[in-house]
Amino acid sequence: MEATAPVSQSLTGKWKLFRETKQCINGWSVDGSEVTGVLQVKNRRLTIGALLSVGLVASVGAPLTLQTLASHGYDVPSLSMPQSLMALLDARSPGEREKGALTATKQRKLAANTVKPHERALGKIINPNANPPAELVNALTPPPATEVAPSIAPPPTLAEVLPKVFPAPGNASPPGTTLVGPPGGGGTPGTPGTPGTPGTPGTPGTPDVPSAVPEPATWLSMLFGFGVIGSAMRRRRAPLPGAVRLA
Amino acid sequence: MRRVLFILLLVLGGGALLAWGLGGLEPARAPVSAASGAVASPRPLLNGPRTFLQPEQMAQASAAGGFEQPPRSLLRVARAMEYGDFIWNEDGVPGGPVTVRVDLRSQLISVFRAGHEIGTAVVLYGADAKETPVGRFPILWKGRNHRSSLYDAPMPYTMRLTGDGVAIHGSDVRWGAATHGCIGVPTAFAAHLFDAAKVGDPVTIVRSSKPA
Repeated sequence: MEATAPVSQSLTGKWKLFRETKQCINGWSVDGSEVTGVLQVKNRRLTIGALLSVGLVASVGAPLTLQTLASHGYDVPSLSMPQSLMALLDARSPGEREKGALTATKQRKLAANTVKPHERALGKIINPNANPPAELVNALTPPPATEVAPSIAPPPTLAEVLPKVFPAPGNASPPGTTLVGPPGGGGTPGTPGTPGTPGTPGTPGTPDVPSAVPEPATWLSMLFGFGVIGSAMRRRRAPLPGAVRLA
Repeated sequence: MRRVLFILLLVLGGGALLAWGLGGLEPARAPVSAASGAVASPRPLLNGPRTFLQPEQMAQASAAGGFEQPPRSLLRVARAMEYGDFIWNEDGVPGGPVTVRVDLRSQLISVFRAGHEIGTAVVLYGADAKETPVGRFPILWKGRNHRSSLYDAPMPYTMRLTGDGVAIHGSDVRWGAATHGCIGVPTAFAAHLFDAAKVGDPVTIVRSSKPA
């Protein structure tokens, strides 16, 4: 009992405080003093604010709720009132069939015109394909170079390229030396060229697109083919020796 | 007091948010036989189950004509139907007398059971030289696989209306087509109607006046 006594005391104290506060908020104090004036004003402001917010929520929420109910198929009287019975039925009608509509010629045209007017003199419009094939895109726009710092790194030297084609470790020049020309102008002069990395392949250039004009070798082979054909025809048509040639 | 207000605010705000969020969700609808013609329509035909009519809307039925009794609810159709479109939805509709209303002006048929619309479709009707009669016709005879002796043509799900051969039957409902006086409905719709209607059920054919 003694152990619980402070707790009960404190509880009693809290309850007393709560009661006093409540009474203060309700507008009168325990001892009838005028200390609650400030609390009253605060309380009124709170009440007005709360009422305003309740009104706001109701004014926003009520139409929303009505709309939601209507969209879910519930019958909301205020929304379905204005339409008359015949208007309801006519709203679902495909329209009237005019007198003589069935015997009129060019019915398709008439039907199309009643739906919506449309333009007839439009030129042919070819919409570009939104997703062209990947090969075409790659051919037209080469993929961007993926070097980290293209302005700093000098172009690959012949020494770097050659070992990949002809793997001759003995002939390989030390990395960084250029055989073709000086390093790029943008390169920092102090640092030697980036050491060649034999593992990574060189950047693939644009794929070879065949030229529109044939190469001389192609011309030659074609002309040679014509010559072969012509000679073969000539040989086949050549008369046998000793045969009578008729005109 | 403050705490109560705070909780109230929280609940209201949560409710509003919930309603807003629900609007974005696609509502789960019961499977309904709504069909369109050959061309797939961009918008769904059916927009919710049905619209229950207000008393003033029911009162307009007598002026509109063709209703055996004031309709209680209509199927909700999201857009204007095209040739070959139909809706058949009898979910939750109680049993009762079946009535059919055909409006030649709007080219629509509506099937009611106990005052609730259970089916609607675009119809074909008689050409100018072979007009469809207007009036109230109880169904005289039903034939599931009927073949017209007059035109030597298949007329599935025939429901005969007059003694001289005017009937409701399944046909290819498309623009530019007409009948020799019959009411042509999509064949799948005709099958539904054939099952729902029995001999003696009234079919009213009207040509309504255009609403002002």
